[in-house]
Amino acid sequence: MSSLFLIGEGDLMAYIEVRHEFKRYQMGETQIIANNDLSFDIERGKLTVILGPSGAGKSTVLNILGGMDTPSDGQVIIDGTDIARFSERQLTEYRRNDVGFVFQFYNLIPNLTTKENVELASAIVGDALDATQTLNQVGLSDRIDNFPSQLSGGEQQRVAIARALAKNPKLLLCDEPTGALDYETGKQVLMLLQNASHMNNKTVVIITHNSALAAMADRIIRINDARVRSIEDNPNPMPVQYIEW
Amino acid sequence: MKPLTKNMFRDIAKSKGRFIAIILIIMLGVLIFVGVKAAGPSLNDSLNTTVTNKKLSDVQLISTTGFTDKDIDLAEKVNGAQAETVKYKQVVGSKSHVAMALYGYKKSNKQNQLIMRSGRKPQSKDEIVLDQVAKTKYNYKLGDRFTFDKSADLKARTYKIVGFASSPQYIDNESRGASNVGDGTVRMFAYIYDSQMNLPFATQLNVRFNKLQSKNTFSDSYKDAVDSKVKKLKAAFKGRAKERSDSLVGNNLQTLDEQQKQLNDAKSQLMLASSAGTDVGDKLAELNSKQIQLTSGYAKLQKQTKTNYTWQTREDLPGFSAYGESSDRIAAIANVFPVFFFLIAALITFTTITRMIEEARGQIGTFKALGYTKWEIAKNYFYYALAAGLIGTILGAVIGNESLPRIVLALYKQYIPLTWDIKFQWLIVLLALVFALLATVGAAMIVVRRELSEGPSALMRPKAPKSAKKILLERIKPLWNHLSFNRKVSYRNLFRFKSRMFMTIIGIAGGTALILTGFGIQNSIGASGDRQYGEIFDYQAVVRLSKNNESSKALKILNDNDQYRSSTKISATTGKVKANGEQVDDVNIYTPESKNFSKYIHLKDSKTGKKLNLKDDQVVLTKKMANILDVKAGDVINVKTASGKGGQIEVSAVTQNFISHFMYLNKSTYKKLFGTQAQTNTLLVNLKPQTSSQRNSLANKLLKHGGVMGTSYTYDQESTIAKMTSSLKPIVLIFILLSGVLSFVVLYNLTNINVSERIRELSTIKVLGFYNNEVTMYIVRENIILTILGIIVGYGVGNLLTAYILNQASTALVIFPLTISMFGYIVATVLMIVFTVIVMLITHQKLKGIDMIGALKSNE
Repeated sequence: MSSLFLIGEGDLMAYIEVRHEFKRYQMGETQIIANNDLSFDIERGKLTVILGPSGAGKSTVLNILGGMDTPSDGQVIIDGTDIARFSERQLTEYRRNDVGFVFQFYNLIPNLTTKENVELASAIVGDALDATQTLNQVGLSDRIDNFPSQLSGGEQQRVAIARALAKNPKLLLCDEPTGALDYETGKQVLMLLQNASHMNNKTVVIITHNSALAAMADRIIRINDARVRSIEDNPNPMPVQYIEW
Repeated sequence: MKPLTKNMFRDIAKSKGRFIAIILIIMLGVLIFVGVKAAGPSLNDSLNTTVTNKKLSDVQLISTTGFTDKDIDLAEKVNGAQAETVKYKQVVGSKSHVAMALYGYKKSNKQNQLIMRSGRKPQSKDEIVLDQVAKTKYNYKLGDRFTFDKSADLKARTYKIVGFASSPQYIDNESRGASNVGDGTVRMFAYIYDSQMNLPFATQLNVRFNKLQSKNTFSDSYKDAVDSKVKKLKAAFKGRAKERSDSLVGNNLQTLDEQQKQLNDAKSQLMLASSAGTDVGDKLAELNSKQIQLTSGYAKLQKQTKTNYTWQTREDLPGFSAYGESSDRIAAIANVFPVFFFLIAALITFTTITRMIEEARGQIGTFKALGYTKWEIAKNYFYYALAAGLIGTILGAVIGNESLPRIVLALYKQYIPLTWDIKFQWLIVLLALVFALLATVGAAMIVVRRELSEGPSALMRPKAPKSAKKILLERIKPLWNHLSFNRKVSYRNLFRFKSRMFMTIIGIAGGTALILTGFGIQNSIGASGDRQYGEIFDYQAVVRLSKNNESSKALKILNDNDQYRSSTKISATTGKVKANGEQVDDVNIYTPESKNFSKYIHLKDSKTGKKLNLKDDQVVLTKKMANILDVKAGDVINVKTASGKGGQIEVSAVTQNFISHFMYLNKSTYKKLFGTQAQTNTLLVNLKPQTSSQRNSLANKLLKHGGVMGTSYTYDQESTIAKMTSSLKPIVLIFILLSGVLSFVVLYNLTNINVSERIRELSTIKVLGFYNNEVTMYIVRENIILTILGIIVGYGVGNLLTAYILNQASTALVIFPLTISMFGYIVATVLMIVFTVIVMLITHQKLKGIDMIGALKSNE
């Protein structure tokens, strides 16, 4: 009875609820406000794009969502738990078990092969996916024994995605994932991310300054000058291959 | 200020830690290099200054018949000589009846001034100044009465103690020289009023040359100069001995002659009386006994007036040459140890500077793109390196030169209070500066040149990551597949950063080796005595008989002694041995009387350890002399005794031995070689453990009633070596301490470089959700492997380094067997492990605080 109720409630509630979140930095004499009273929801299993020009504060949002940073004020409720008051250890555990990251500059370990880079992540979680299988998924089955320096940028980013996916995270956070890639490779990478959400039911958040990516999202949150300017739902997200920029 | 220069200063301010680390490493390297190098000369200089200040004589002459003013005049005829005489006599005194060197105190005397430790000099005839040793070892206090034995023949038996002093003639508190009274060893000196000694003449002539005082007592130039002065003095005293004897005989002979004349008169009167029929039996007997007395009087006169001179220079004073040797030994160590230490420091500096410039790659590219010339860019790094190198060198040189010698001097407690004389060793500092600048400026120049040769665009792009490769270990599939994921990562990383791997191993191995060497030097020097008196000599005393083949009296005393176990008779003499153009003087030639000799001296082949027997027509040599002469079994050597007898003989074997030179041969070989029968003149005595007073009393008895010339105990020789060992303790301790600091700085520095090189990697795994301790272990695991490897390599290098230093420090007489105690290994290992753990903890704190976001966002 109660479990039924909980499931129902879970369905009703958003996966991530950010409420009146502030982030302030003290830079010498002056105080910089990176996030100024942000409130938004992110739905489970959907792809959300957070859009904004550089310096808008969107990276701060990602850092806070990913448990790499803590807000100065407000609540960040993830799956019913407020991570804003987490200890460092709790944050690490959260990153370890619930989050997968994809960065602009891939951040692969140069000294590990493709497969080992993926294993590096899967080694620390209990219900990890098989590294080789994940690499097959991202289309790198023939490069598993190569080192990062032997891969192209797109391939490296795909390894990074595989590494994030292999942890089987609930949340996939991507910071300008195509920022360092050319048009075609960028598209391939975005496709992988869209599939992760629409086919594998992952909650995916992409942060970008490229407004063309808005079309692929289920929800678009625009941030400018440290504030949320608009939240917009897109009932029919466009498949990545049709997006042009 | 130009923007580039400003940039440099801000760089320094921002990376204070690194700048300080470079300065610190250079400082440590220079400190120990300069400090240890300065320690040897400072020891020599300080003693030299002390004895010069206290006007120690350059030459001393001791006469059996004393000196007069004429002798002073004679000595002062030699250019620059200042001569004075002093009454000197060996007597027995104190509660323990020990042998003492007693001097007559004359206010007017200028040489060999006392260094008052407490109280004052004597001011009246019933006062005495005693050796400081009397206070420390014999518990005399100021105001106590000091009693001499009757045999001392002084005006009074007891004197009031008014002062305790040290003397420049006795620099080593443990050594007062040999005596012909008491148990054969002088234990202390004393000064009473000159007039209190019943000697008609002064017995010692002290000569000092002002010109020689500017020379260092231990230098060859001083020794040569003194030798030439002694030659001139000897020339001046030629014929003086006979003249002196004659004049003494002259006076006394007259009295004896008169007595003889009276006696002759009495005799002739008696003859007359006898012929007159008177009974003269009693009278005749009386006269006969008088005649016997008179005859012995003549003999005595001749003996008493026989003038014998003993010449001695500073080198012959007790403890003097040992002091020189100990500072030489420190100098020998200084040639190896600090150099090695310095090399490690330089290597680490080189790595750090290289890393610093590599990090500034993008910046260099930007400057280049802006149009700055190569030199404009390079000079900033040049100045940075120069500043670090200079500051480090200056700090290290000043601290090293001023502190280490002082520490060593302060710890040289065995010697008289020295006037510290620490000179700044400019040459060594200059040498250190050159090496320090090579490591700093040299590194900067090499790397900057390399970087600047690339175009600006290439520089601004990140350096292509080192292409990773499969390592050798991966090819051994069964082993590789067996390793955990984390281990695989560690091993691959180790081989990726080869230079850092080698640096860390060198650093740790160097530290371990240096610590082991510290212990090794001490252990090995001690081992020479331990093994000589533990494994080879199995006796506790050597008793030298006064007359050949007359040992019955001595044996009776020994048999009555409670500690006596057994003894064996040998014939002992000394001689020179020549071979291959080399010569070894002072070889003890031992010929055993009986077979049981092998129970007292264990002859073992130096290579195989097999027991050796003495064969006919062959001799056994000890190892060190065999090395010097470059001979082995089967070679022929030439032997000559002091009296010139001897000849060619074959070597049958080389025996293990650590101290002094010995040649062993059997009686028939002796007869063949020297043409005479070997005469028993020495007993090797095996004793139960004795107390020091038991040793003294036995030696005393043997000397007085046993027909014995002298007794020497192996205990005394062992304690001499123990003293030698402990005199090195301060140096060794400093080595161990500084080596520890060095290894720590090296490890810390390299870990820092490692973290900064791989900050992105570490941030990534931190973001991936590695716990803090997992992140730390990710990098520390490599440190642990390297530390273990470094320690193992360090064991090997430590042994090599110790062997090399021992070889440098060994004297002509002694072999130091390479010995490093288990304790040394444990200390070195534990220290290294502790350092690794401390560095791990520091790294852990650091990694906890890294800005993972910042590192990941940047494109570098």
